[in-house]
Amino acid sequence: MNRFYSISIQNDDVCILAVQSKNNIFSVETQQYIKLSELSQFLKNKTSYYVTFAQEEAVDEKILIESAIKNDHVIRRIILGKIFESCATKKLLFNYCPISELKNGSKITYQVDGVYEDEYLHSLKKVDNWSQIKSATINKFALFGISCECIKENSYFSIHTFDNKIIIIVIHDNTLIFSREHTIAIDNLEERKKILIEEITQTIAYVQQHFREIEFSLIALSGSLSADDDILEHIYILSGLGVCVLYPNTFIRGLENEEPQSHMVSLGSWFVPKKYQFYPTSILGLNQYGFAIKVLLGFSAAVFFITSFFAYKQYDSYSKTLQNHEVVKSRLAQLTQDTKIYSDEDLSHYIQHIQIVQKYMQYHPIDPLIAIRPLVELQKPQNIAWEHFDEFMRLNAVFKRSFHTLEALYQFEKLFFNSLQTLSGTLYATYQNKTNYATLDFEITVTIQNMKQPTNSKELPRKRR
Amino acid sequence: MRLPLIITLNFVLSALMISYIEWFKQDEANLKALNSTYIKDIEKLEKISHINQWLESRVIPNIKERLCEAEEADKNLIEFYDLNKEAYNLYINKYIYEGNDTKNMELSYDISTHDKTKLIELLMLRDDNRFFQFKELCIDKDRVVGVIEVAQPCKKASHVSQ
Repeated sequence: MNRFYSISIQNDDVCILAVQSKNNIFSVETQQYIKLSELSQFLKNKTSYYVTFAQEEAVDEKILIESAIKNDHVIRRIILGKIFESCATKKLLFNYCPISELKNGSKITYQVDGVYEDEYLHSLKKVDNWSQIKSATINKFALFGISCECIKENSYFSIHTFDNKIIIIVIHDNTLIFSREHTIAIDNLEERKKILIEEITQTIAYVQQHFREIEFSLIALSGSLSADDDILEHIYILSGLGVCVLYPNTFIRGLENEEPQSHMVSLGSWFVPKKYQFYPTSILGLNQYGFAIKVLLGFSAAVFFITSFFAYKQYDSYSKTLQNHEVVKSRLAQLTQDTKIYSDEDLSHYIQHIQIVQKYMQYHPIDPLIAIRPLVELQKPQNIAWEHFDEFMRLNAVFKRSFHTLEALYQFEKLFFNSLQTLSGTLYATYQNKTNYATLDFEITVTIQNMKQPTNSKELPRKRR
Repeated sequence: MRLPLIITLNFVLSALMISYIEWFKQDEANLKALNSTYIKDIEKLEKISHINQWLESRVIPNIKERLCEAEEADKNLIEFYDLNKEAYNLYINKYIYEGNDTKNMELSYDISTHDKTKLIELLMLRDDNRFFQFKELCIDKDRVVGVIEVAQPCKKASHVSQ
């Protein structure tokens, strides 16, 4: 929901409408009439103004420019030059737009609408806070705005009267192609009515004559003359065009019955397209500044929120690490307190003791004797010699047996070597075969030692099949 | 005038947040490095504690049991010889001599192969107070002969009693 103020400055009188807008439905909350001198006081602490002025003198020119020229800056300079040539030397605020139907060969006709800057600013200066001005224009463009909003025809007239003033605008393709403002200073009502009808019909006839290629379909009336049926009838008869009355009550609420007719210019102020709004450079600067400030505000807020988010995430991660640190620290403190640290002297004493135990427990004759048990089960050894010194240990076992047949010797050898093959562990086993096959005397010396040493004896045989 | 103030405040706060982020990052990295060191220290202490448990349950009590004064060690060795001389036909090869924290005596033995009980007894010799180390073992048809070293752990003068 937006709230804004529509300010219509007509000489020394100011009409202010406070408007609420929501979903393109406008609601006039209050209407107030004040003097121009009270305006700045009234607008204190209020935002969003749509301003419209009564300005007798306005620029309404059609200027031919070569179609090849497209640069805005150049077009503006040409327009200014031509206007200065033809009429005044006053400073101008103007907008222009090409009128497509009036293309003339290699040239394009531009409709130029503008205001005289000094007079315009004189009125505008009464509004103190220029940064809050959303739109500023003159009456005829405000009428154009409300007419376009109410009427969806392509080419038509819109005529508005208030006090003793009459504004006639001609709209074609949503562009204002002709306008005329006139003051009728006659008190006699009948006389005034007659002149008003004359003025309107003559203007319509002139426009129809001037813009022959355009077919006008409608005359839209608003303001004080819309209530007079005689005038409506006369205009209809004399122009031959359909006549209607602007009635914005469908989308503008808060004004009863005919009330909108007296505020038509104010109501049109917020429908004025950009091309008919006139801003002095300072307002444009202020608007740009306001826009930049808003963008910057959005950007700074976004940066703030993003950095806050990341700062929070980082803080979260940091606090978890800190918690972990506290846990680890207390665990370390506890362990440091609980763990007994022995002196180097004590430790070296214990190590020495362990070394003694290791030395005396490392080698025992039982170990290799158990290792050769499968062989002993086959044949009791004739003698066993075990010795140990320093890190070396060796066991020699001599196995002897006599056979009557070679077959028996062969079978025994097979069993013996199979058993010898199965000796496992970290001990190295070698043998020396002294079997006499002539006398059938089996004799093998098996040597088991804890480390490999170069010997003349054979390594373990391949398994006999 | 309010909006520029808010914008400035936003940017100042954002800058503050960024510096906080940097500070948190830096401090977190330091904490993580410290935690890593602490965890390594904890692992080391746990290992030490584990070794301590083993030392206290397996090593230190043994040392306490076995360690005796040098003179007592000599007496123990002599006592062992006298007690087992006849059973294993012991013969002194090398009289009491010093090893590393031990007093040693080298003995030769001679047992009949047929006396299996004695042979098994000799091979299974175990004593809480001393060590036996076979140096030689020869088994032939009739005799089992060899050399055995008896080691008696004892205190060195420099060692503080545990």
